[in-house]
Amino acid sequence: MEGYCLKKVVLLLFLTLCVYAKDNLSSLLTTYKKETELSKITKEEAAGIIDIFTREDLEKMQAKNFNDIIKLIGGLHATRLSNNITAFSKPTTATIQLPAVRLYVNNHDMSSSSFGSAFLIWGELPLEYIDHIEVYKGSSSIEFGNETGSLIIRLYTKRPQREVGNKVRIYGDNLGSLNGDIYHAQKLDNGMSYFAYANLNNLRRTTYHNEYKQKSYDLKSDQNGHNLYFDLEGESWSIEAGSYVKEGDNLLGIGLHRTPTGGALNAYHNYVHLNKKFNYDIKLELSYDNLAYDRTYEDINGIRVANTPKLDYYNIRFEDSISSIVLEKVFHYQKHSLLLGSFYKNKKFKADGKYANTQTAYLHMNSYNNALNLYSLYGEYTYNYDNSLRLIFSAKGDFFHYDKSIKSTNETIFRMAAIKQTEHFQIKAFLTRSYVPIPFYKLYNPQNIPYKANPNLENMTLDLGNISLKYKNRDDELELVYAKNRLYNTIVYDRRTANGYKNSGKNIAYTRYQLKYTHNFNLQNRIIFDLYTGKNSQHVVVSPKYGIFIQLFNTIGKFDIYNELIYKSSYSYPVDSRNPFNPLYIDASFDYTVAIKYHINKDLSVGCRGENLFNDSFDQTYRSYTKAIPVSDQKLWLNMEYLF
Amino acid sequence: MVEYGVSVLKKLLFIFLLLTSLLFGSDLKTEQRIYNLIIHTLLPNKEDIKVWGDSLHNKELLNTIPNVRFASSPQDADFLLVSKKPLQDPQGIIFVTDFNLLQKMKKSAVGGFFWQKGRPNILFLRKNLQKKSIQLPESMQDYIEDEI
Repeated sequence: MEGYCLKKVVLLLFLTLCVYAKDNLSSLLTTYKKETELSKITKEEAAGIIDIFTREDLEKMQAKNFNDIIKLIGGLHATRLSNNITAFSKPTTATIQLPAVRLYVNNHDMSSSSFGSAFLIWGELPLEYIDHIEVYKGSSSIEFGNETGSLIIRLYTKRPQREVGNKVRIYGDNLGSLNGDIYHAQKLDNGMSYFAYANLNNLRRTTYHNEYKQKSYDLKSDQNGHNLYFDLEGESWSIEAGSYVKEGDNLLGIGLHRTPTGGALNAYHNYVHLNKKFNYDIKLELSYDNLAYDRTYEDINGIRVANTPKLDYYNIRFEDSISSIVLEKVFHYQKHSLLLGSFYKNKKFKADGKYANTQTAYLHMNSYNNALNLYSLYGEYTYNYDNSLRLIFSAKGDFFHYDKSIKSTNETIFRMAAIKQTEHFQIKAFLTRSYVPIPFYKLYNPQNIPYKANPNLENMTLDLGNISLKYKNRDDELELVYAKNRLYNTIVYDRRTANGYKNSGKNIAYTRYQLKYTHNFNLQNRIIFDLYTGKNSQHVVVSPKYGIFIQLFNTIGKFDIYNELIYKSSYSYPVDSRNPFNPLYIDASFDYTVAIKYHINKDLSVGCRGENLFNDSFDQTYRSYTKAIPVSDQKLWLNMEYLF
Repeated sequence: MVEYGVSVLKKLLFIFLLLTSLLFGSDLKTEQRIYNLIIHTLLPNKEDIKVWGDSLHNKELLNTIPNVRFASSPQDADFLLVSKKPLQDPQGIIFVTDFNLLQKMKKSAVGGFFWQKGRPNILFLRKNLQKKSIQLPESMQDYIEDEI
């Protein structure tokens, strides 16, 4: 009898342990995956105030392209310009200077030299090859060894060592969009590994209409293209190559009455980037870019540009080539570390234009080019006072030498940072003096056709102050951010002057407040609240003053469920410059998105994503157009993913 | 009766070791806890487990596992954690950390813990478990594969 009881006890204990072991192994794997997220390795606390979109976030969101992410950057409104280019505005302000925002894929700067921004081409970048995204606010770029930018968005590609295998993803929507991604990753016997990715995209968007003189004009923003990426890695080096090609519509275009009758954007960007790490903490990067941006506008009711009669046809093609070398060395000594780096960039810029009025037989063609040699030296000293306090001092000198007409300039950046980290609290404070670089197109155009350029422009100086206070325990994280920026000697456009753009001698200040709260119900269930607002020293409100978004991530059994609600407050915008006291009033918006994914097995999943379900997304206003256009469409996406 | 008692004691010892390892495991990092669980599940009746690793990382990892000690050579080891290249017929249980290596050692390795398809995977090979007369608990059956 005793033996029988003992046997039962042993069996019961064994079964309990078996159940425990199952949960344990499964939950240990989930924990391990979470602990080893690549974002935990790549993020640079010292580089600014950080928002991170982890791989798990992107997968649960069923994120397709960059537009799904940028609308969730706290403190900014993601929008689009009249020609369908992705842009940002801060609460209350108009769209911000594009060169202030820099986009990287791994270590590669995606900016064009003509425009100083990556968003003209990469705004709708397909995301399937991206592992995670880091957004740094109040940054200086010194940590990333490249050109300056106060908002830095870094996209990190999937690592071949972790991806061994293949993936196919196909997704389409009710408007007729159809997109496909495929990638293959392998580790080779010689220790090398590679990742190869291809995407085909065909994005259909809602067509709006403009009525003018009893005629209706379509306002389209469809686009299609492809994206290729290849990464080959050895133990201490990697070589990456990327190629993105896209064609797209112009939305409103640039016509006087916003009545486009044709035109399109044709763009491509090819690049290759080599990273090499040597002994003694020495890093070398070499890269080359070739990109073109070919834009045609057609508007039967007239296009007004600088120094020409009224046009109905406008074509301009910018072609850039950029060669770059970056060299860095880090010294460590006890509590001190010192980063010393330098880079050299050669940026060539060429523009060809054709401007016509088919009704008056006017035709003008022009062509111009220039080049920039940019040298930079930088250093960053870090003093680790103890395990909880870090003090950082950085300095950078940028030396601009142009081939033609534009005067050479020298710019400096200084930065101080303090980071105090205890078990539950983190305080980060940054003080930065930087500048906003001027893109080529504002500096150089000898004929001032079709736009005016001023070779004597001076870069705007920028002071940034950021403080972040974060409280964190096992399940909760609360972050308060206060940021104050001041832009000196702002550049404004004055069409009465021969060169258009000029330094105004005036300063603009901006203050931003942000509160972010995250609660982790457990490893796989999480809610995020992000509230932000701001004010500018000019006391104008031409974009929503308040923004709030809520993200809810859930996993229930084989289902991943994602909810997203974005609120933006009402605002007014003077769409008619001759009548500024009769602005267009825009109601508050509630953009609600749900994504549900069902995992049929470990390798196969199907999902759907309903976007802007209330049909009440953020509406953007435009000059000379009496209505507003939603930034997001109401859509239902179906999604299939297969790993093999 | 004595034999029965010994058998019960063995089972109790296994449970004790498993519990101990899980409890000890709570102070370990997750990767170490995973290996701790794997080692003590694959070698449930072994009181003195001798381990061997072919890289510094593997050695450091195994060094943190409770109730194990290092073997002087691969041939003496009960559990071998292999990352670099196939081993020539050691007696112990081979576990690998790389999918390609598992393919190469599919006749001898009992399983592996590796990144593949963007996620960490644990996999046991049925034939090799049978060769070593290893019975995994019901809860781990999901991790057993016939082929790779």
